Amino acid sequence: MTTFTACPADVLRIDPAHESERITASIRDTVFNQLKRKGAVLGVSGGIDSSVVAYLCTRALGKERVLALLLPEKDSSADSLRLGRLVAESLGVRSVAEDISPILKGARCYDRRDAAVREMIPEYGEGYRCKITLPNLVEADRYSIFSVVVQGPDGSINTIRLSAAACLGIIAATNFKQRVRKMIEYYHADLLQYAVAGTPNRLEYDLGFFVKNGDGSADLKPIAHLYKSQVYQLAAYLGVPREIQQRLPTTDTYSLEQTQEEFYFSLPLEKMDLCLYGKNNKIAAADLASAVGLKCEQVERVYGIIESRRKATRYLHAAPVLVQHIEGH
Amino acid sequence: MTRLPQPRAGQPEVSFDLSSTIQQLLYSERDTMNITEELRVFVIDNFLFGQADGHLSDDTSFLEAGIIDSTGLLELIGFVERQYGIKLKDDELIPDNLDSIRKLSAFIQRKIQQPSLQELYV
Repeated sequence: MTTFTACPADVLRIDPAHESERITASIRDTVFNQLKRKGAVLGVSGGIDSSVVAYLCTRALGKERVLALLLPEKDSSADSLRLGRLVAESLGVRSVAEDISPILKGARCYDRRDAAVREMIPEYGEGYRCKITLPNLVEADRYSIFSVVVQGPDGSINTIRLSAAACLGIIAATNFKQRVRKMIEYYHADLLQYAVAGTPNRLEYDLGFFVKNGDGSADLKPIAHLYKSQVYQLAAYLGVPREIQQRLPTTDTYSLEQTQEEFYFSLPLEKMDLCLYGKNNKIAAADLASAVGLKCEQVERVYGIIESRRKATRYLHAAPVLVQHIEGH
Repeated sequence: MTRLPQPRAGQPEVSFDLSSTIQQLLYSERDTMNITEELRVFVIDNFLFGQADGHLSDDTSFLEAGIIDSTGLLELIGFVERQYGIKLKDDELIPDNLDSIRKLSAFIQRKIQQPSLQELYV
């Protein structure tokens, strides 16, 4: 492991003008030359990542060649639709809003999820809200064991460790949401001969914070190489609405609001960024600790979390395995 | 676990739980090797797909070997709780207790032989 005398806290600073130009050039080449598509379609959630990708696609391709899809469902925050519309209006691109709740109901997404929650909390039903959470994995040597947090109609909160069946049931059912959104994106892409732009940032792409064949599926992923803090730098440069820049990142997946930190990262995103940078650049935990504001053993734990997440993420990224090579491909 | 009856006024407080005493007697007859072997069979069947291949020792770290992921751990916890009639508390779910067949076997033995007062009286 490389030893540095210190890791500057601003090591993730980028030249946003240069990076914006680099990404827009890549988008143009990918969409027009490699994929031979006429434009780009993307789901816009009102979050920072999809907003930045919308701005970059518009810069690259022109506002006439970008379609923003607003795809809320009954558990979505009302801010998501409002802020997604704000992005489309600010850019002057076409947008289509489509409530995916009926499709999810038809697929019994909500029924399946609620049945899984009821394995742990039998009274769960109308008027209840839930989310799943992980314990803080950085403070102590703990396992990534999910609990369900349920808020009753009276506002009372109950937290219960999930059984394997309930955990898998909740996640599998909830994954319908991302997969249905992707289905709608590809419908419009087929209709318009557009490419589908994915919106994961580097943390999400690297550590598996996406659904296989859901938001993990796309024709191009323009910000997958950017650390979260770099996405924010680009957002400021591109002029993404301030309210979106200041919005707390959420998963916007569960009926009870869930931050990305409590679902997956166990750390504020800016610290996770630096830890991932340190891991990628083989910086010793002791050297990184002071820059991140953590103890050495905590950084070592995060390095371990990154390794185990990467192992699990391989399945999410894996292409279909063939028995033998097919000529012509 | 049988609920311990609350003493009525004037009656002496119950000083032991019959079901847990019987449980301890039963499990004292199962030596550590049996629990170890049961755990080995469960891990091989559920996480190694029946392929033992000789790489799973009693001291193999599940984490380091990548044998059990986070949902696999929930399956393992569920098995241990059902099989041995014990309840694993959240703060007991640490690698020192769970991360190898040997560690888990020793942890189960400790839980069986010395249930907490809360477990006796709940």
